[in-house]
Amino acid sequence: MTLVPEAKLTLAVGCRLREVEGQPPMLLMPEAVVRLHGAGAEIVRRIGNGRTFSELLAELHAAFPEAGERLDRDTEEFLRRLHEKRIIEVTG
Amino acid sequence: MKSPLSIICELTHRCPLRCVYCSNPLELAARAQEMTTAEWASVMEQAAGLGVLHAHFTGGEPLARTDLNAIVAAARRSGLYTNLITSGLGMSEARLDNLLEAGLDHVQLSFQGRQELQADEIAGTRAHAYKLKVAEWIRARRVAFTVNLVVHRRNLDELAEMIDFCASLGPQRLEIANVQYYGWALENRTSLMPTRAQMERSVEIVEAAKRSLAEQLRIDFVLPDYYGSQPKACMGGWASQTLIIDPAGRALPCHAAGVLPGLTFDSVREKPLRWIWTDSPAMNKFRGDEWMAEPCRSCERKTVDFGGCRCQAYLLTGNASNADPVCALSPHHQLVTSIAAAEACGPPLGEAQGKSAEWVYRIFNASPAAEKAAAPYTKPSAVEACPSHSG
Repeated sequence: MTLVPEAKLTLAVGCRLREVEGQPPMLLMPEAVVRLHGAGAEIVRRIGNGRTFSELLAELHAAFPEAGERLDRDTEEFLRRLHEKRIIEVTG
Repeated sequence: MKSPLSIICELTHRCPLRCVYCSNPLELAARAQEMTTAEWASVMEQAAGLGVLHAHFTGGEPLARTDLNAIVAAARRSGLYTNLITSGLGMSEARLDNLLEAGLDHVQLSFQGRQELQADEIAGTRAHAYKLKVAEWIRARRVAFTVNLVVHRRNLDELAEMIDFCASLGPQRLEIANVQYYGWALENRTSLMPTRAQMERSVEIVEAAKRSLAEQLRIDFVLPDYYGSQPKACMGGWASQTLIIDPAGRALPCHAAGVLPGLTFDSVREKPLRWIWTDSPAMNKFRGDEWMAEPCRSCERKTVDFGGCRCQAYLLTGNASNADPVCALSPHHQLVTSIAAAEACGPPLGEAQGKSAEWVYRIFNASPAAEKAAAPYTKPSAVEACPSHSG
């Protein structure tokens, strides 16, 4: 998977973010559930609405100004893991 | 008490197919006993309140219910992830669009094989050609798609070709499941039991397909457990992760549990779902390890496989508290190995192999024996069993 700045990120078909007050955010998909921790839900919510990699990073930096450079690394690692699990689609 | 993660809703036992390995009980629930739309909607709400995340709609054929849309919509309103497990019969493009609009997340479409004649023999009706159309409709829409393929002695010899066929239908996921011997499948076990050689070869074929198709789809494989030496962790443990509601509202810990004697499974028509899950005697019967007999009780794997399947223990040993005889440590293990050895013979499905098996097809309001007697008349003859297939 190549994560160029203009790569378009979308949630894979059948994957859906579940956010219920008082409960941890979860990704629902066929035959599986993934619990999201840390900034995971912030990332998945944005991908659900369609983002390029650079748009996503810009928004996350605005949301977490204290995170600094490690936010880029963490986000890329997180996206790779979601892609391995077929939770997101990366095009372009 | 842990919450169940998923609820399996047997919306009806009515089905246009009569599959010889159907997991429905031999006593099928009649239409008049089926729960109403409002009753199912209430179950969805109660299930979500209990912590359930996934709702699986099955049957019978769930499309036989004209109110399926309303039930799916009720599940989505309650925040549940919705999965339709279907033969495809009863689907139309308009109906699929309506279901997606109601919030259907995932469709699981079953296939009985890759060739029409053989597949339709297993289904007991003409279904294969229509399923191909349904697969096209699903693929053309944005919805998660799983193809479910049931395998057994009669079709395992063409497993590689069947995997290619299923992959060509365009699913994101392929579930290849060996027949599990409960319900109608148990009645047909002699005609379905794979040979050990088939089973071993099938593992190699599936592993190779997982590698070669890795970019395209995920493959899940359910092994035939009569050839195992460790039992399956049936349902992830009795009343531990999954709740099943039958068409009449009875709550069960698995599809087959109705066969177990001395247990009363409460109905959501009479009791709240939360009480049934946490407090009802039947759900608590095989939780924990106090019910276990040896060798399970002192076994270190008891928290891994929970002693295997209670229904299989009952069906094969006569006592549901025994270890699942699939376990090599079970004093009854030889039952399983001898059944597999004795029954895994006979020809694979197909014209070239001559006469078809004597199937027990599922039917309403009749015992399997009555169905056997009701088979159409054919000219009596004495045919020698083919030595090469007689085992």
